[in-house]
Amino acid sequence: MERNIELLSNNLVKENPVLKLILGTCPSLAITYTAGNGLGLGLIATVVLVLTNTVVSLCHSMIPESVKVPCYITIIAGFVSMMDLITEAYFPILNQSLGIFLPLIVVNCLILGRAQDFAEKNTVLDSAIDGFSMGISFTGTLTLLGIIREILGRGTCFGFNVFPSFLEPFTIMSTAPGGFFVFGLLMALVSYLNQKTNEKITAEATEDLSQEGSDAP
Amino acid sequence: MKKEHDVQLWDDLIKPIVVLSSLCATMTLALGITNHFTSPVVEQRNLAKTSSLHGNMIPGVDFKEVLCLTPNVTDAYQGVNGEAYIISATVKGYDGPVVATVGFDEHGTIIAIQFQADNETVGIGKNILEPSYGEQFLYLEPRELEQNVDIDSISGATITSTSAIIAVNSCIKGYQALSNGFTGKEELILPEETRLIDLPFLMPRVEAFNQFSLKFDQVIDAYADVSGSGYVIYVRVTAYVDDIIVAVAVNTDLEVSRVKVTSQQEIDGYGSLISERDFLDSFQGYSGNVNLVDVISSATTSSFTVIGAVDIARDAVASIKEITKKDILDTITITEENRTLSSLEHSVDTVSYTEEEMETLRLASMRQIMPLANDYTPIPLDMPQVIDVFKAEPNYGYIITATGYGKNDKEMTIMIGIKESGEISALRQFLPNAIARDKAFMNQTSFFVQFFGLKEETSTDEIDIVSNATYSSEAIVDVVNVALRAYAAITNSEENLS
Repeated sequence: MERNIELLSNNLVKENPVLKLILGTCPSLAITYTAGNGLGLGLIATVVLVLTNTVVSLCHSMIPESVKVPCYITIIAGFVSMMDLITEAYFPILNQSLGIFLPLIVVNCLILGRAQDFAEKNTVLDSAIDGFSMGISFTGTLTLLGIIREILGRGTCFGFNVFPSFLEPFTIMSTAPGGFFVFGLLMALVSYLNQKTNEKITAEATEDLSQEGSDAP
Repeated sequence: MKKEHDVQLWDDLIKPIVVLSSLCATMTLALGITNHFTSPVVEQRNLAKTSSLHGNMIPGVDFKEVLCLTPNVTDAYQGVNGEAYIISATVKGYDGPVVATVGFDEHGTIIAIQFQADNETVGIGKNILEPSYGEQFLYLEPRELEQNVDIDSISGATITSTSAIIAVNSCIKGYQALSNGFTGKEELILPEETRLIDLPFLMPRVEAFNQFSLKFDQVIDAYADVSGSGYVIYVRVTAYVDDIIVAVAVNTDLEVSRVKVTSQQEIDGYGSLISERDFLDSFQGYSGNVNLVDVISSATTSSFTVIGAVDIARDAVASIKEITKKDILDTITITEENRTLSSLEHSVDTVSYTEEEMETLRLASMRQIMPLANDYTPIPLDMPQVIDVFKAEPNYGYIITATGYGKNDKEMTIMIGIKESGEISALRQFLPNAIARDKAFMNQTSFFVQFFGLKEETSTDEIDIVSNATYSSEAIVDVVNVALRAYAAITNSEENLS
């Protein structure tokens, strides 16, 4: 249980797929001009990640090495197509606004990467938790990107007006360059926080060591 | 050894195939099941969306789907009582499709419009969705709309704005076709009688035509003058709204004499002007120089389509080497009845002037020819080339208006005054048509004077023709002879009556 919680927290922060592992950048930048899009794509990717990781973990022993990648891609494509059909039927607005980026989840390296790196080496439960935590982390980052870009680019957040009426929104934030800009800032922030944490840990460790040293007879 | 080999075959070849195939089959099955549950939901929503869209656009009208094959048109709906139309067209925009859905009332006025531009850039191309953009289209007549003339484009979104205009124009074309009872790509059939009326107009001096088979792209029918002076070629081309049929008279020097648009569904008041003589007459003498044709300013597409058709006809004639007996399908002799029907159908006055204007013009011209008359009474006379005959009361004589054909069959309508004694007393050009363009005649009153006092039919041998205007001179001599014959006919019948 403890291991599962550790896995979950590790994936959420330390191994953030978008900002640390730089996976799935293309859809992240393309669709996060609104927070809703980011959240939607993230949740769909989470479902696909959980299902793919589970199925891969279940069947990987049966799949010959020579057709491993085609098999994984088939599994991912199947789940993505299912999600496409489901969103088209029940969430048509989300489906329309994600457009081509929804089917393109098939080639999102995050999903294939987790299937190969984690699911085929771990138990079904661990794989499902990994998929879920990775997905939530992906969703969180996309939503954050979307919130920032939507507020700056359109003056709204999840469609609600948040910008003072006397200020004009920065339309550039809704376009690809704005996406890169916010993405870059978030990456810098994560790196900075990481560095700070590492420095703190190193300082504490050094202090501990020196204390141990001074305590020594 | 064999067992080992079999195991290896299974592992290396058969197992991967079996695994991948079964995986594909399983995923396909799963997808099929998902689709089974989701597709009815999508279908129902689309249906509801369409009916609510129609309800929002034109409330209170029940619509039924109709077939419209106009390019770019994706859907067309007509009110069950034909009272309105809703037509959608899709055109490629900057980054995906731009859809225009246009509602027309029973007169064709645009009363509702909606755009869809899901993939266009937010804040730029997507601005076509703003009500202020769509409102520009409202209450416009169904004709070709122009960017920045009829509709202000969105700055920075030229491509999306252009696509939007193209989509709306496609809807308008679709409306034109549907409201005229076409699907937008209807088969055009020309009845035989139409040709019997066209041919005497297109080549007025020809007595008989050979209909022959001519294999040339877009040529649907071909006729040759039996004496070999020229051809009438029917060409079918696609114009702005739909296909049109253009009949072109071309002589052996590849010069065009007359053109007639025999079938068209172009937009009323715009493209439809291609049928007008004002436009078609500018083809007289056309031999490939487009600059000489008066293109209709608000109907450039339709005008250039006609020019294209005329060029096709000229190319078709150029391709004719020899017409063998085998090629001849039929021989058509033009009867007097055909000519009369044709001249009624193509009479110049109905085209350029209203009846009132015509009346004023006629009276003014008659006053110049026989100024002393108290009144002018029309006399019925059925004779080829004769347009009308008036008697100048009391007993001043007759005023006969007749038509002759100059170079390239240019019409020349001449009004001739013939005194009671049978002498020609005056001669003047009646309508400002072909003859007005022949500058030679404008300054040569000496030519007209030669006919004054003439009683008998004459020929060009006795009259000094205008140099460089042989055809036109011959035509006027011909008209004078026609008038004299008409005079003889009238006086004969009057004598018989008395």
